[in-house]
Amino acid sequence: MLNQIDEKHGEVSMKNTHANRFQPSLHTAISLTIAVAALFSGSNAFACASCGCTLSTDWGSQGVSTKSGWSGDLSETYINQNQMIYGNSKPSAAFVQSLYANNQEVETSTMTQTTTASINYNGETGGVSLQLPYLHRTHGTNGTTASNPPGTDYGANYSESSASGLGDIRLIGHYNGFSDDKTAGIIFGVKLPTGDYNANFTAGAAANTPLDAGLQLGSGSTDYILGAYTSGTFSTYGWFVQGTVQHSLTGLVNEASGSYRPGDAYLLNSGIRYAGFASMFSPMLQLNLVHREYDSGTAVNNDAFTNSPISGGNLAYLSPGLSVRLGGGTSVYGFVQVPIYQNVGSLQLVPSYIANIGVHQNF
Amino acid sequence: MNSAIKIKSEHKGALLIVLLLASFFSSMAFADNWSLKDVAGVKYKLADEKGKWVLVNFWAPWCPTCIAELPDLNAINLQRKDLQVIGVAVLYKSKKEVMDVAQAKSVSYPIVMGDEDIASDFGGMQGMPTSFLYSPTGKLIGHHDGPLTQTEIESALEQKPESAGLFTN
Repeated sequence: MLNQIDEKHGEVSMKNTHANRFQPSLHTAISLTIAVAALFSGSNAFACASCGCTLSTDWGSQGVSTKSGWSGDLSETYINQNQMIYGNSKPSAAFVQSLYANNQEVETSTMTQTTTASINYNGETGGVSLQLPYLHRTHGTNGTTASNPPGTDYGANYSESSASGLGDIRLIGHYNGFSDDKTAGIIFGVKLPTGDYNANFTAGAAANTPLDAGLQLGSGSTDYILGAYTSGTFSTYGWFVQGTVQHSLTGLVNEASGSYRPGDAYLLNSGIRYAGFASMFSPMLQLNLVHREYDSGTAVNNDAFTNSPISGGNLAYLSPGLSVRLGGGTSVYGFVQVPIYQNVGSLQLVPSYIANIGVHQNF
Repeated sequence: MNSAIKIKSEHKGALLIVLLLASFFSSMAFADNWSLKDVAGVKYKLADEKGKWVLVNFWAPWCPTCIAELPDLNAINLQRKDLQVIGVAVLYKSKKEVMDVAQAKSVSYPIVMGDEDIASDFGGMQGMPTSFLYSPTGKLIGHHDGPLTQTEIESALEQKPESAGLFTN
C-alpha cells in the first residue's frame, strides 16, 4: 500500500497514519477500476451452461487508476468442452447408452475460441464500452446413434460443424456517481443479435441441416444487461463484488432449427487482487458463480427421462490470474478458470478449464 | 477431421499471443523515455527538455506533505530557467479536486493527470510525494521519497546532484 512520506530532521519515515485520507482515494480509484471491469463481464446466454465468458477480466488489467479517457482491450478465451456430465456427475457408459436407446442426442465435443475487441471510454462518473466478439467454434455430435464400440468418438451418424464469424455485439455502460467515493455503481447495457444464428452442420450425417440454436455464433435475441458492483480495500489488497443479469427482450426467435429463446443468465463475480500502487505484477483470484435458466422454444431438446430442457445449470469457477504492466499504459493479463462446481440440465459438455489471455491499452 | 480442426485452432491462438506480446513489448515505456500530457493538452517529453534539469513530482491532493511542498516547487520553477518542474497528480477523485489544490497554491508549472500506469513507468514508488530528477543531458539522477524544499533542491544542483545524496537510485 502506498504510504504518505513524512520527512523530519533529515529522516524519512514511512507512515500510514493518514490512512483515513489515503483509503477514500484508493477506494475511489478501485471503484472506477471495478466499474470498467463490469464492462467486460460477459454472460452470453447459450444453450450449454458453460458456454460464454464469465470472467471480470479487466478488473486486474486496469490496476488502480482514476484517469479518464479511452482504452482498448483485446482478449482471447479458449473453452474446450470435452467432458460429459449429467446433472452434477459424470455419466456411466451404460447410462449414456441408455440415453442413445431413448433417442437423446449425445454430443462429443464443442471447442470455442472467442477473440473480443473492446473500445472503452471512461469519465469521472461513468463510462461506456463497445465489445466486438469474433468466434471460432467447432462441434461434434453422435446424434442419437451410439458409437461402436461404446465410448468412441465417432458413431455411424457422427456430424460436425465449424463456423467462424462475428458474435453478438454488446454496448454496456456504467455509472458510479452516486457517492463521492465512487465505491459502488450500476451497470446497464444491451446485447444485439449480430451473430449468425442460421448455420448448418458442415460435415457428417447431418451435413447441411440446421445446427442447434445453442451452438450458433449468435443467440438471435436482443438482451438487456443490468447489474451492480461494489468494491473496497483491506491492507494492500483490493476486492470487488459484481452481479449482473442478462434477459432476452425478444420472444421466441424463428431460427432454422426451430423457435428459440435463451434462458436468463445470472452472474456473480467476486475477487481480490494485490493492490500495491504501481506494482508491475498484480496477482488476483476470482470466484465466478453462474446460474443459467432453461432455454425455451422448439429448437431446445428435452431430456429423454425427465423431459426437462437440455440447457441451463449452475456453475462455480475459481479463477487465479495475473496482470503485468508492460509500460506506456499497456497491460497483459491471463486467467485460468477452474470449475469447482457444475450442475447442468440433463447431459451437457463442460470444459475441464477455461483459459483467458488479453492485452489492455490505456490511451 | 475434428482433431485437425483443434490443432489448427490452437496454433492460431498461440500465434495471436506471440503477435500481441511482440507488438506491445515494442511499445514499452521506461522512466527515461516518458511522454506526459498536461491538463492544457501540452505534451512534455524528456528528449524535448534537453539542456534543462527536469524534476517530475508525483503527488496526491489528499496528501498534506505533498501540498506543503508545492509552493517551493513552484518558486524554484519560476526562478530557475534551467529547471523544469512537472507535477503528476495521482490517486485523485476528480480533476477538479486536483486543480483546486493547484490553484490554491498558485502552481504555474505543468500539472499532469496521472495514473498508476504512469507511476509504474517511472519504476513505481513507495509513498507520496516522490520526485524524479533528470540531468540536462536527460540522464536519470535518481528519485527522492518525501517532500523537497527549494533550498534542498538548489543545494543539490549546486553540488553534483549524483553525489549530494538527495536523489538516489
